[in-house]
Amino acid sequence: MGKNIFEIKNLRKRFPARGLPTWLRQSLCRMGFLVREERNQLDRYYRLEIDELEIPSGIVALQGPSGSGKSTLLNILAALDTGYTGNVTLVRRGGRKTLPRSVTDADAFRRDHFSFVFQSSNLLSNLKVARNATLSRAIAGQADLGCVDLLDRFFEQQGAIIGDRYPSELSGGQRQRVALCRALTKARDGAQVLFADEPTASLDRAAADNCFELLEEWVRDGPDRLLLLATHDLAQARKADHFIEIGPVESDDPPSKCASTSGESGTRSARHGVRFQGDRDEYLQRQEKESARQPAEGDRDAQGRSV
Amino acid sequence: MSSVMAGCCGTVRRLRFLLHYCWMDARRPRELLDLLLRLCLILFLFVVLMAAAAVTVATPRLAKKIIEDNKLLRLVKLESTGSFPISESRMQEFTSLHELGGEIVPTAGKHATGRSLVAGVSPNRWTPLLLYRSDGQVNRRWTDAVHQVYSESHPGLPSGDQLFPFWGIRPLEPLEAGEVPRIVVTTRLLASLGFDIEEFEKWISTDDPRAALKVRGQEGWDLRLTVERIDEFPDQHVSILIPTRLARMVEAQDPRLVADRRYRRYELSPAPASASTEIEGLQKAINAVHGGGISIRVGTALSTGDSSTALHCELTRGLEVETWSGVGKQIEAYLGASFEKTNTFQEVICGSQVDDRWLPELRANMATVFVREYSDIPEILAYLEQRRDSLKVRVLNATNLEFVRTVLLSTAFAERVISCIALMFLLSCLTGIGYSALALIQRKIGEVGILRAFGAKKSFIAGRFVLEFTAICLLAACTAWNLLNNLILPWANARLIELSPAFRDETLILRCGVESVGAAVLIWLVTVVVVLLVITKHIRECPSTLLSMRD
Repeated sequence: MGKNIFEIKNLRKRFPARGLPTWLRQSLCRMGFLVREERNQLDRYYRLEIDELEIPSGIVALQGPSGSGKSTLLNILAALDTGYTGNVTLVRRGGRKTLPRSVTDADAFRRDHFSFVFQSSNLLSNLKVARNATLSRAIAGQADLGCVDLLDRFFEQQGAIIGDRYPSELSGGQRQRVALCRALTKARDGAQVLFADEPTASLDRAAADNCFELLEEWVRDGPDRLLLLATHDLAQARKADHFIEIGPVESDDPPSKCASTSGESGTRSARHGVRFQGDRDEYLQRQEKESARQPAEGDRDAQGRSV
Repeated sequence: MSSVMAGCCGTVRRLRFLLHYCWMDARRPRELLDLLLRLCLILFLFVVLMAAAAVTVATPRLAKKIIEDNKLLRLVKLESTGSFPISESRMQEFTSLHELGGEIVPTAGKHATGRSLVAGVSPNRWTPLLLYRSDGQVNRRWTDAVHQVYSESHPGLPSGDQLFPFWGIRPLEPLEAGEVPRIVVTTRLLASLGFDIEEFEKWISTDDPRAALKVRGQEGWDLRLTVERIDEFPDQHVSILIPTRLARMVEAQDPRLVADRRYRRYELSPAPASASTEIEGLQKAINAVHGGGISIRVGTALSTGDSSTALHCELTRGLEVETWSGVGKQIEAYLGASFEKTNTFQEVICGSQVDDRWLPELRANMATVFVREYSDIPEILAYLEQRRDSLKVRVLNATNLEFVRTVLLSTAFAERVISCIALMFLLSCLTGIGYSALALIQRKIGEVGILRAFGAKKSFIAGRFVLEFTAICLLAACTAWNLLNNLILPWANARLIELSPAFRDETLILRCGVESVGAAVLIWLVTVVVVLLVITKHIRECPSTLLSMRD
């Protein structure tokens, strides 16, 4: 297990439901302008609560069902989202640094330390692929050294051709590979952490493996590097060094206020947190246990239905 | 030092990328269409605004300026003895005048500043004058009108631009045997040429208009210009009319001028290629002889003089009378007394006045009194009323004062109304531009999120939009200015020249130029403010929020 890169303490992130502010909503309820169903609907929100979490260097897979808060945690760790409470510390090569909460500082922090691959490619449509791939250099005012070599590796020696095209002329998978190339270019220029939010979801197996190899190569090439990977792809996840699973957890709050949920109606809020954290061996053992338990539950259901 | 250099290089690279980014954005079909639509919107509003400002605002203001500042408050007219009817139509005026041997001096005592052709014909019909300023801004309509009138009676008269080479006096009809062309020469010219003015006035004030004028020189007279002579004129501007024929005669009378070529150094060729060439040569010659210090204003104080009807005189600089052809004495005879040295009368113009508002029953060859200040009118009116009987003063309109007051009040009211209209156009323009900026940023909110995710600075993101709108505003301002300069201003000028031939279009051009620049700057500022406000709002949001808005 490598050196810790992130240390998280008492992280609380709340997603209030859209609608009126709380004070106004309560006032309207009191005056009778809102019926109970509407109030229930308005009161519903999700929470991400992590009391303590340490993320080591290497490849870390972040897993969990859809809507469990993986992307939220990635956004918080990547300083893309500063609307949370708690303390997130980045252990840098030169020391420890708490993630900035001001927007301007967060921009500079991201520019210096982080690189990203989003769920969607998020390319700038008015720039050609080559420019997109070196976007971080242009923003940082660095010399544009080109990235044809890297594009070649992503596109099977077709980097020059692909680099001269616009994103709209590419398929979804190709665009995602360009996004990966952009992230890797920034990572190679000195970033310590690369956040990848389901980066290969739109790629076929061969392309996904190729891309993952390139990301893995970057991680292994230097010390104290972190690839934080949110993925549903089990085959890819198994290549990770460390695993974190996020999902609904039991709440300490009264049931009327907060209930563990997976989306049932009638609940007002859902608390999500870290359900599992461990290295690859622990994760594989857990997977085996769960896979063994699921058929038994399936049999029970089948029996129940047959009865 | 190296860090400073690195910082500068980084800034240059960012700026280069920004330009590339905007350029790549603009050249894509969809963005280009969007850009053109925005440009058209700005341009349309811009032109409307400028047209409103240039035509509607400038026109009444200039009219007011012409009325008030240019001393064109026509108050009374003094009937002259040799009057004749004038029709409303200017062309008919020309015809009638010509048939009756009258003259037209379509200026208002501003020969030196007017840009129109100064045309005239003497009553004896054998010395029509076609004089003009050398600034090339001759009103073509005047030229054509003069040509149309005179060409009927003078076949072979050069037309259009060919009138330009006319300089000085030329007889348009063949001279009979023994006839000497009648020539009108300014006393300034005579003074500057060294003539004895009193002697010359004796020649020229003869009662017989057809009396031959002989150019005679005193014993030992010299045509050499002397600085001392010219310095007598207070404004240091010398009005020199040197008719070609006079030059010929002078040369014939005094061969010494040809011999020592002093006269030729003035380059008064009988048929100059153009007046400007001649004037330029004259200026050069004067500079060569006197070392500069004297400037020539061509066309200044030129007029056709008629000793029998006292058609024209001009009083400037208080009541310092400048006369030609002995007219001053006759003007004094009209008024029954010599002019007092007072500043009440800023100008007194006696002569035919071309004015669309003249009525058919009015008479030409009248003296028109112009006053500078509105408040002076009652005093001047009283002054003239005292001399009504003896001077045959006839007030054109009993309600003249009321009329003038009404004009001023209505002009002020119109100015306010038009200012409100222009302001509304401006507000609508600014609203449209601001909304366009807002819509652009909202549409590109995802790009802002991406740029911010990769750590772009606030100035970088704002600069991208400011740069785009700066380019659009510049483009729109240039296009609008071209439209103004080529379409709207000429039309407005034509309208304004109809108001007064003395109108100088530089005023309108300057005004429109200033307003164009002002409007462009204002639009740009509003855009920048909107961009910065919206960008600041989005900067405060997290990039994840912006990216989710893109999705």
